Amino acid sequence: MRISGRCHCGNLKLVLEWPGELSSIGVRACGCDFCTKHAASWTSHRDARLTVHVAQPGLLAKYRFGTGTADFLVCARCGVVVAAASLIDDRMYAVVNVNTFEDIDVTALERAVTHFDGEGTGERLDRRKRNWIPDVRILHDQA
Amino acid sequence: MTTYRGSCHCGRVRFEVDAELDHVRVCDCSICRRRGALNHRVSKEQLRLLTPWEDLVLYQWGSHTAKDFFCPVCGILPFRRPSDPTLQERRDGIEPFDGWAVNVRCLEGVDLDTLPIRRIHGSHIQVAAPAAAACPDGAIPGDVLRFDVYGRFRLEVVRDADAWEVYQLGTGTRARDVSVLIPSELPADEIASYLDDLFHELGGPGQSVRRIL
Repeated sequence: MRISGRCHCGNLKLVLEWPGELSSIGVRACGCDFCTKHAASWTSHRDARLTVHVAQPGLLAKYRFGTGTADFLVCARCGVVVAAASLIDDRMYAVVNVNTFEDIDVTALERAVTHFDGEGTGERLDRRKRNWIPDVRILHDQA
Repeated sequence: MTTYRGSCHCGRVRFEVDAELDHVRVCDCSICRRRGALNHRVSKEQLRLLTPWEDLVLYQWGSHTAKDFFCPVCGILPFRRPSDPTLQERRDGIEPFDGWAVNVRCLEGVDLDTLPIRRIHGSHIQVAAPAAAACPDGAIPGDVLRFDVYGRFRLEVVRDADAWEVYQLGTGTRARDVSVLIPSELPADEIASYLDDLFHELGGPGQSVRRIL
C-alpha cells in the first residue's frame, strides 16, 4: 500500500510504499529524550520504499546527536520531524514518524516501547541495516 | 506550585515554569497530532524564558491566532500561545486565554505516564474551517471583536460560520443581544461605522463607536 505523510506546513512530504496492509504496520515509540520530546513514533520495513520530497531545501534541518550516525529530518518552518536517515556502507536507511501520516488513524496501530540506550554503535548500525527501510530517496522538488 | 526547568533537545532553548501539573491537554488537531505535545496552560507570568527569544522560530497557520514557538535546530516545541477560543467555547463563556501552553514533554523531573489526560478535539474545529470561505474579508468562525459604544455600553461581536452574533457586555456579564443585527456579509473593519449608524442618537458630537478588541 502507498502511504502519504507530511510535516504540518507541507515543506516535507513522504511517500511510503509499504509491502502489506495497515495492520502490518508496527510502531516503535523510542524512549530517548529526543523522541520523547517530539512524541515521535517510528515505523520501518525492510521491504518498504521511502521517498522524501523537499519543497524548500533551505528549510530542511538535519539534526544529529548521540552517536551522530542518523540525521533526523526536521522541517525548519513548522518544526515537525518526519523521518530519520542513516547512511551505512553507502546505502541510506530510514525510519518514518507515523504521526505525519495522512488519512490513517495512527492511534489504532500496534505500539511497542523501545530503548536502545545501552547499544554500541556497531550493534546499532547492524540493527538499522536489518530493520530500517533500505530504499530511500530524498528529492529536492525545487531543482 | 512547583518550579520546573525545561528545554528543547539540543539545549538552545531553556526556560522555567511555575505549574501545578494536575493534568495535560492532548489535542488531535493537525499540528498537535504531529507534535504529540502534552500541553499544560499557565499564565504569562509563570513562564520565564532563560535563552534569547530570537533563538526560537515562530510558526503560524490557519486563523493565525495561535503562536507555535519551536527550536529551529532540533525542532522541539517547548511552548505555544493557544489559538483564540472557538465560537462554541465563546458561547460556553470561555474567555480568551492570555497565557502559555507549555509542552510538559520538555520539563525535567516529570513522569509523563502518570499525568491525567484531558482530551481536546481540535480536529473538529478544523472541520468547520472551509466555512471560512463564506466569511467576508477573511473573517474566520470564532473571530471575536469588541466595541465601545460612546462609553455607554460595550458589545462583543462574534463570527459564526455564516453570521455575526452580538453580545452585550456588562461588568462580569455577557448576554446575547438579538436586537442588534449585523449583516452577515459586512466586513469586520466596517462594523464600527455600522454600529455608529445604528446608535448615532446615543452619541454626542464628535463621538464614534470604538473597536477595543
